[in-house]
Amino acid sequence: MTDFMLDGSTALIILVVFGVVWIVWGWYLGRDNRTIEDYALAGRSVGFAMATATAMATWITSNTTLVAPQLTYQFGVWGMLGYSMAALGLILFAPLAQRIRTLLPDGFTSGDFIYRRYGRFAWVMFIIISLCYAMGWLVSLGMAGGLLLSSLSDLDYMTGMTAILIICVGYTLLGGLKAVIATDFVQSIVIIVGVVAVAWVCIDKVGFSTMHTTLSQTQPELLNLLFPAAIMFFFNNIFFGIGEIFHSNVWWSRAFAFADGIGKRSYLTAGLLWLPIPIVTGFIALAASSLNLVPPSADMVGPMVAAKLLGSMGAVFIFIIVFSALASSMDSLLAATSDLLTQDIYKKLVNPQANSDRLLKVNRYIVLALGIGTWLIASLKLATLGALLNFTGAFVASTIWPIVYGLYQPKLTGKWAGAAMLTGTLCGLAGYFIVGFYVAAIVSCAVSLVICRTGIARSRSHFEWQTLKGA
Amino acid sequence: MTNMKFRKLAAGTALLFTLSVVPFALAEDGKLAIISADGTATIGWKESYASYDALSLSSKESGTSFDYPVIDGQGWVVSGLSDGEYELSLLSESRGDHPLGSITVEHYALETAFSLFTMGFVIFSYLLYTLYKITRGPRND
Repeated sequence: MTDFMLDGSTALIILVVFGVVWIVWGWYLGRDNRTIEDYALAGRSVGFAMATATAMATWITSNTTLVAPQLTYQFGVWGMLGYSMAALGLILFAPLAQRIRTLLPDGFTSGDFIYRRYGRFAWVMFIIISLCYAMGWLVSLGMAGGLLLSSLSDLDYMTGMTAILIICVGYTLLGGLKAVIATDFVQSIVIIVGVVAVAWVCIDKVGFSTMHTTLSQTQPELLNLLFPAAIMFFFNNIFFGIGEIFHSNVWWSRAFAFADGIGKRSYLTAGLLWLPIPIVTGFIALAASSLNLVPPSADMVGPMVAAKLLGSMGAVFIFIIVFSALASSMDSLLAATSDLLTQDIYKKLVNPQANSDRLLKVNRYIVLALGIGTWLIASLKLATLGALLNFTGAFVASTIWPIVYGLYQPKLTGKWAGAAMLTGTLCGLAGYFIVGFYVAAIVSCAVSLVICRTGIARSRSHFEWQTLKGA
Repeated sequence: MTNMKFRKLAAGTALLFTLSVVPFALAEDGKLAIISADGTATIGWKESYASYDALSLSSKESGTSFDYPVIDGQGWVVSGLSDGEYELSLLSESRGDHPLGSITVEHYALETAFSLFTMGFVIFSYLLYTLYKITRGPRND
């Protein structure tokens, strides 16, 4: 068990080297940022390779490297496949990304679209959902950074959490979206090479036959395709993933940033490339019983198996993979949430006359403020933030239909779209508390669909798409 | 140092990422009486466990038994259990065995699971149909 504990000095050296490289690189990439479009949307000219890598790397979070093995350990084959179905979010967003770029060539954020398409009521609902989700994810990533870096090394929680925040805020602040995308590209390569290497060693050292025999004896339900809880989990996770991607400005800002004709191909390719990753990371959890490992908490099963298989090198390996996974999500969230706050709160509500220079300055202040705010909340180590992420499924799944119909169906009005998000979220939360997390996203999505369809059936208005471009 | 780290690990990461709440309770005699609907059970750590060698999980129905190592500061999360009653006990060559409690696994009904699966499948199919239809249909941009 002590295999995966790095000593403090080695961990600190890795962090300092990574930190300096990322921050200097971020500064280098951002030295030509002159306008808010350069900074927030990388000049709207991101090419196919970078676009695909950033979409894939951002979707590889600490959840992919830790929760995919956890769900496999709890739900077996269904857990592994169910988690990988989150790739459908990226795949189904592909045609939407193209439509977004066509409808709003000058757009900045997802909130921007909702405001222009549906008006104030739906926009308020959407912003509340978006900010709850973004802050929950951001703070829990900070907490995960502190806990995991301190768990994998001798560094304490505050050092680990502070280090990952300083590094991510540093290069996002200096380089903007260009730095986020470029670092994501490298981080995605590190993560993929890492997880494939671990899976390879797992198959080589343990073998399918041994794993199957041991699982049949000790954890038979993990191989059972009629495992009830896992069956319940399957579609809920799909809707959670789709809701996360369809509504979040992390993905919309990329749709605006990618060059013309790139979005659809990039999201489709990223989804297909991402799909096997949770299967690979989840698969290694099936070797736990063969190695006679029982985790103290289910989410640590992946690192435990990897460290057991790779020995002392495993600790360094896991440390770098986990750091890359956390950083690739945190930088994207910082950038996208600061864009949302700059464009949707500052520009719309505080200073509508703000010019590009002013917005650029405000955006940077917001990145810094988000970093400090995240640090302050994460330093409290609130248990409820982890729980917050679990029930955000109820929030985000309610936005799926208003987004889809908002982009394609001219009859849905803001009143019904806002009602769909509000009622869907409330019913999803009721499902979460009354039945369990298995149903929150499905209930939310179903209720939101019914309200949207009712709104369309009763509607006598017809939205003119051209007004989006002229707004 | 290592034990401290693992205690921190067990407590902290469980707070962050745990996706399911495994119901458990203490029976009147103070022994663990864990009830699980998904075949997963968490057995928390107590200082007194440190003097034992292994945690044994044995099925009352089949009589099969599996031993897991005791590591100071760490609890256990066992998963993939089938329906049935399981007895938990701590084993020690020097101190003898110590019964810890029981786990009762009763999985959700398959009817409930398939109802939810079907509902999810229908909505997902409708989403695919909608996306296919509207991305292929004529539009006035």
